[in-house]
Amino acid sequence: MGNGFLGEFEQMVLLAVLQLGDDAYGIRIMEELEARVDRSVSRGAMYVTLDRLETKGLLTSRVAEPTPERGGRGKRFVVVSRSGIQALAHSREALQELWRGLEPVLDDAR
Amino acid sequence: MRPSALLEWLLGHLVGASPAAQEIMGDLSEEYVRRRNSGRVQADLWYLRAVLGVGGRYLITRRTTLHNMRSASDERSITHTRGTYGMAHWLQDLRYGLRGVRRSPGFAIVVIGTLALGIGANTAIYTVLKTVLLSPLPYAESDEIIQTWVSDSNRGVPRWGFSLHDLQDWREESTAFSSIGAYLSRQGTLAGSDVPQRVTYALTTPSIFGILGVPPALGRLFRPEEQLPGRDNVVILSHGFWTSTFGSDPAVIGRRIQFDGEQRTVVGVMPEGFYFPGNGSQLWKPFGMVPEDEGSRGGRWVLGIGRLAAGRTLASAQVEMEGIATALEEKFPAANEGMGAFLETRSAFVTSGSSNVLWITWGVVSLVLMIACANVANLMLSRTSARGRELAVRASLGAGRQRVFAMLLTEGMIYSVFGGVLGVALAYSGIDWFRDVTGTGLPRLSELSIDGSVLLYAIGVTLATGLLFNLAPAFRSTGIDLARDLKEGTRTVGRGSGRRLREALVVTELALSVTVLVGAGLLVRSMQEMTRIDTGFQGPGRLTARVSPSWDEYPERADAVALYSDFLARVAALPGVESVAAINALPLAGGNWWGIRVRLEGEIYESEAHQHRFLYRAITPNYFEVMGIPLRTGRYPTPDDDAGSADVILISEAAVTQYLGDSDPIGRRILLPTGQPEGRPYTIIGVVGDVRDVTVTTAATPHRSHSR
Repeated sequence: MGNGFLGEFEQMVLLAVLQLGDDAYGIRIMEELEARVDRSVSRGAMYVTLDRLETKGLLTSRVAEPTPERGGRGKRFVVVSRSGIQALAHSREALQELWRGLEPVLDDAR
Repeated sequence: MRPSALLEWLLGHLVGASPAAQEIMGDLSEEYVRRRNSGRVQADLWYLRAVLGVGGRYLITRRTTLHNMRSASDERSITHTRGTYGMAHWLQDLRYGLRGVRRSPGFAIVVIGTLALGIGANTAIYTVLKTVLLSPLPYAESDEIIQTWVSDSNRGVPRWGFSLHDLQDWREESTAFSSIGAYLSRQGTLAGSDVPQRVTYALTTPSIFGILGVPPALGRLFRPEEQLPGRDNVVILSHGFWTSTFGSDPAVIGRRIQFDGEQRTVVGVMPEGFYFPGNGSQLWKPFGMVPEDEGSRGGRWVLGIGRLAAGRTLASAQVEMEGIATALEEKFPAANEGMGAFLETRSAFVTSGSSNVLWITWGVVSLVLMIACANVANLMLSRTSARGRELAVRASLGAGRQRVFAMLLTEGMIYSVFGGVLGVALAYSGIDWFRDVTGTGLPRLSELSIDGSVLLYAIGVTLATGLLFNLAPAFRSTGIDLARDLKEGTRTVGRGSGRRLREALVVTELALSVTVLVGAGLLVRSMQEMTRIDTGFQGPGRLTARVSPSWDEYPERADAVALYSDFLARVAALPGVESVAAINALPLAGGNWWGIRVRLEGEIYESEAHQHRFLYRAITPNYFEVMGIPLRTGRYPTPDDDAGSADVILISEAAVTQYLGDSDPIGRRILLPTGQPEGRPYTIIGVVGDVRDVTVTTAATPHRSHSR
């Protein structure tokens, strides 16, 4: 992944996966994002992001037993990998560093 | 509860076969199931949106990745290669085309709207055409079901009914049919609940259901012995009637219902979608009579169908039936002279009369679609001309003719696909509308639905339309003159080949429009002619109502007379009612078109077949005045005639011309076949104007009426 920072949506998806713990799969992640961030999420964008994060090694996944209501397909549960957590931390630090000393700007904008 | 297989397939195709793709499909399927509980349509729409959203996103991502990988490995620009036209090119054109649609929404609305109307009308009419004419009737091996007629050569009528006597003889003599049966549509009354209900039903021989080859959804079909009088107190319900009146109660089997004055047991319920003979039949009941109950062999009052025996054809059956008819003519000259046989397939009979109309309508909507195409082609052509500079720039950057051609074709196809989708939606709602406006005018309307084959047709029409209106502009574009187009910019309207093309399009459009307009004009003209036909009675200001009492509650004639008198008096007392009259069968209201054979007193007939045939109606004395039917000679009946003491009769002008010639009809007597072999005499007291009884376009029938 090199030294690149995570995109905003990538961070949101990773954080939602962490929040969900053992229960993180497609539908639940979408619901979590929509509930917490209060914005509608493009389903297609989310799946593409999940794929990308897995390719980058920031997520790992396992497929559960197939169920009939899923048309005989299993859920793909995802968990954030060690490097995923490192990437999140890295992004967070970078942002915090950039925000340092800027609180008055926010106060002005209020 | 699974999403549509087609959409799942599409989704699978768009997202690919990776494990991630399986996850997406599983997620969508799971959510579909959840949403399905709050409504199927919403769930389906949601799924469609999700498939397009996710699938579209995946398509773009995958292709972009592919594209980037290719570009990285091969420095040649992929955009304007002169090589083969690949998926990546196509996607690029698609995206460019979609942007074009968004950029000029006005143009898009006009083009898509025009195409949607054309494709929608065409698809809707094709749906009707396919259902009514092309798909087999909903019976087992329906092409083996034959409509059997007695053809009456005395009067030149090819399709005439049977008597049960005829049926019995045909059944015994023929080898061409594995089974022959008779039926007749009737109206009856279902009593026993709060409000008596008028029911359209069919009398059938038990063999009918075997001929149709459709098993019941519940219970059983009629048994052969239930044809016999006294054993016939059984009925079979249609699925619709069972649902609407009996609340789909499976315990209805064995229940006794009060139908047409008798207790009858429900023995079966037919499956959904089954109909016979028409859409309206709600119930079936055996005739409950043997030929001997019928009286005269010459009273032909039932209709027949048969199923061809294995290995027999319609033609061989026709030959055999003609032979049997000839033998019957010799055996029963009085009743069967001139009575031949005429066979046709059931589907030919059911669709006769609507086939021409439907093909013509389909032809007209196809012309309209072509006009729409020509219109759109013209619009596209002007746009292509206006885009001369853009196309020239593309060409100068290395885009070959093929490439520009493909791009324009793809762009055009986008419009036709949008038009097609909207058109199918229009057709979908159009069909309901069509069903409402045509009412009972067409057979098999209950079967109408947009199914796979209709969708396939719509897709075909959409693609064909796309090609039709795109070819001209796309071809036009390949004649780009680089130097001139780059110099002249957008001032290209009305130049050489483009102008000629546009002129040709306008001429085509005009020619097609004129054809359609002339056709429509002729149609309107015929309609006008039809409304101008003198029916013989005054329609405006007259309201009609039908009363059918259950006769076991009025066993005596006097009771029935009292019921009608009371009813008429009370209707007459209503505010706004000027006068009121009654008749046993209203003109042009269908039914009761079988004639009876009568004799004029003092005339001798060779046989029953030579007797005069009259349509016969029973009326109250003021009927002619209420209906505005003019008196030609003699007098109208009076209430005194109605008391029953005098047997008086009025006949129509046509009856006088045809049967009485120049002699004065007033005072002559007619013998009516009312049980006694010699007939009961009635005195003619008047002649009234002719009335079109059966349909507006068939000539007035010799007609007579007498007071009840």
